[in-house]
Amino acid sequence: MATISMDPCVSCAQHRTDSLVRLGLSPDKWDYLVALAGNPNTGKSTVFNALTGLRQHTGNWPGKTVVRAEGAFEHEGNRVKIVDLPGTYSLQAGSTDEEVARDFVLFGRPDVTVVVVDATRLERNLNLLLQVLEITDRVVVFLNLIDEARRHGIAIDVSKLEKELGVPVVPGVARESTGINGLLDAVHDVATGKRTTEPYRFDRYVPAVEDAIQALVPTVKEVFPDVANPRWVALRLLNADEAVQEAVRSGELGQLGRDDSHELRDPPLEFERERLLDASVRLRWDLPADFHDIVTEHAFGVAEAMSRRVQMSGLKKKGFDFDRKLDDLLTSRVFGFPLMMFILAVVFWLTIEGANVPSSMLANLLIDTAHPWLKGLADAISVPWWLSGFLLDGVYLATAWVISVMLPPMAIFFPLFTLLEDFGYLPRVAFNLDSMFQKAGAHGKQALTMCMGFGCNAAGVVATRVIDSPRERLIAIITNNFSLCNGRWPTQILIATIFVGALAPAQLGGLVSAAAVVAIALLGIVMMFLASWVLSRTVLRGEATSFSLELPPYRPPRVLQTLYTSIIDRTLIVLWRAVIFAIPAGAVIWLISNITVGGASLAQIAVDGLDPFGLLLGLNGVILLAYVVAIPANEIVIPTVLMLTVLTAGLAGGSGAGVMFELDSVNATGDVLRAGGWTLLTAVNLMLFSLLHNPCSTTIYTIYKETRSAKWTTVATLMPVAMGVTVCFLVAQVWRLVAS
Amino acid sequence: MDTTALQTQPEVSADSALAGLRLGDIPLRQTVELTHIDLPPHEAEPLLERGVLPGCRICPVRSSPSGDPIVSIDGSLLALRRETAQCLCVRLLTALKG
Repeated sequence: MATISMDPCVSCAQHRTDSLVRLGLSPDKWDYLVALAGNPNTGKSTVFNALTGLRQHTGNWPGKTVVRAEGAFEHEGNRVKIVDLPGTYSLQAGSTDEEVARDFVLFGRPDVTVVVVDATRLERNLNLLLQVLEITDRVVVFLNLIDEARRHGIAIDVSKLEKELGVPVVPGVARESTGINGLLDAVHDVATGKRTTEPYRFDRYVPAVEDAIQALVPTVKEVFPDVANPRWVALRLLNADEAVQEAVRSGELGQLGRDDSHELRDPPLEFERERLLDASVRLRWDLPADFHDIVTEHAFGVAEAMSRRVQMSGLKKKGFDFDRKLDDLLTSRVFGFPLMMFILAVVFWLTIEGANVPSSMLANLLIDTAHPWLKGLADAISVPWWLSGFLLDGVYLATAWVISVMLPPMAIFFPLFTLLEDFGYLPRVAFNLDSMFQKAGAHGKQALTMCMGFGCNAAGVVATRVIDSPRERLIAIITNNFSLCNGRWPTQILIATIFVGALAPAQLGGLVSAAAVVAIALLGIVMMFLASWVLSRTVLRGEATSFSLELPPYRPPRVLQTLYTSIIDRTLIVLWRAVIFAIPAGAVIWLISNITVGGASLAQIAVDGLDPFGLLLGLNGVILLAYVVAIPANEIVIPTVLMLTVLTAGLAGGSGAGVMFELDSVNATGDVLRAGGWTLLTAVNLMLFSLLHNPCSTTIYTIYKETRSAKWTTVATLMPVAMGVTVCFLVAQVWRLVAS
Repeated sequence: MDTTALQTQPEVSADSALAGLRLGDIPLRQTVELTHIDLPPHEAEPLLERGVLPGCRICPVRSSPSGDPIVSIDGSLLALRRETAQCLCVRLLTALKG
């Protein structure tokens, strides 16, 4: 901390840009910035899509740790940037999502915060809205789902609500794009200052609390004369809110209530800021013990009274027969589990089967056609062999391989998964499975992050943000790698077909190898429960927290939007990150195969060195080396194994040192592997090791970004390797004992 | 709190066994009123935020394959754990079904 004064830059316009970049926003130009807040299941993302259209939607999921999605559009000649905050029930910073939303509304200084409110659950939604009004003056309320409210027999007096809240309220149905123009106009008016707001602020607490606030408010006003709501700052300081204390300490708080004008105002001196903090600490001693409860109850009391004044309910109701019948089926004791298995099996089947054709088309284009063409071009312009080898055989091939293996299944899996989410089925899955997770000391929502992990572990790790409790969230993060991801399915299927399926009569081969792969995936789930159970009884000890999950009404999924956003937000970003990590892997693969020391390539030396340990595990040196260099991407394990096998066993065929390849026929691949000394044991253990080894580097990096802890990242990385080595060792010993 | 609430409702039997009535004891499709949440503040707060407020009407509508309840509250469905339902003190609005 600066000793004389604060960093002068805290007050300049550049600082706002910096803090927005820190909060995860790309630093392009806009005329005003709009944040979109709201409870979960209020149709907030529908509002987001209705506002941005599909044109300018740039997601940054899951790359950035803070903001979910941002987009831009033009309205009356102004460039408007809009940020979709995570759906939360409050801004108490109790969970990561709440912290993200709160920090953005507070420190991102949006020009307008739009709060999306579900008209059918006004009282509950008011809780969040009132908290937003405490922080900022510039709020517009979008009262969504008024059609559903009408069906439920609820009518809301919009102008009365507007008067009570002191900010514009726009009713509408985002799904049908009604009310969106009114919302845009209201946002414009508030952003430009054409319409001034007088937001409702909590007042009149019980005397003990009120006295403490009154005693602190003058100091807040002296130190930070521009702050939007001195009472809120005082209350948060009395509540020992760390983010607000830190904002006082750094002086950042002084910038929050102001317009985004470029004037420079001297920030308060450090001793002034410390005086405020000291005063809040002193006053805290006199607060009643149930201070926190008093504040919470007061807030809920206000929300209840307000919603009672503005809504007329008990009008003619329509039943929710459809929902009830569907729930009878999907969460039933008898059909719940089988239906869930069936739906997930269909999703996986569609992913694997559907990906085959585009995968081989991409491989055909990028590997079989473009690669020889590029090599030919390089030769024609006399590029030195080592340069074209390094760039084209190493870097290019690895990247091409990752794209052709990874893109098609992800482009199918993520949209399907998002459709199930949109429809409202996924919360039911979490509910069905909760009791099993609870027994393992974990959270029911881990079921969702586990399923997401079958698509991509990095995406699964990001998805754990929905879990409030830090302990249970860590368990979900550490164990996500036990979900067999898309990058590993092809390896499993290939090896199972060559070695396991071949054991059965030809007509049953396909079925047997499929069963072997499913068995590996189920073993992964068993290992996930086991690891969660062990973690929650050792290093992450604690009871499962209470679990409450809103089951949203079933809503027809928006197919086109889902396709678009899940491909942009999930698939392409995960793919991009994988490509970034595949580039160095390709370089390493080529280099170790082509750099020779004393007549042997580095790869040869490494394989020979690793071989004894590999054989002890029922694997071999080639496999271990392939897993080391393929940490960046599981997709390149098989091509690397084949290349290394041909290279080190001195076989004919292959494409040359450091050039990864795959063979068109499964039989030819089997021949190469058998020539490399593979047995059924090698195959079984490879399948086990492919399930139980470290996460890929994309996932490791994501774990680090999410946990911000080197310790837990190390645990998440090494624990599965240790389990894999143990399991493979035991299987190999038992196998050899039985075989001899 | 429960007993006083019951005394003001003479039409419901003031049986002392009913004073400690918890949501977990209520049969499906019987609407009751929530009187008190018997949980520490940090665990009660997520419930409050999801609309489980003292004074609200709450009705168990189904239970999961493993026996956890789904309740209908304020027009929406909320999944709870049995342990959580056991911490929600309720009072009857009509005589106990079954």
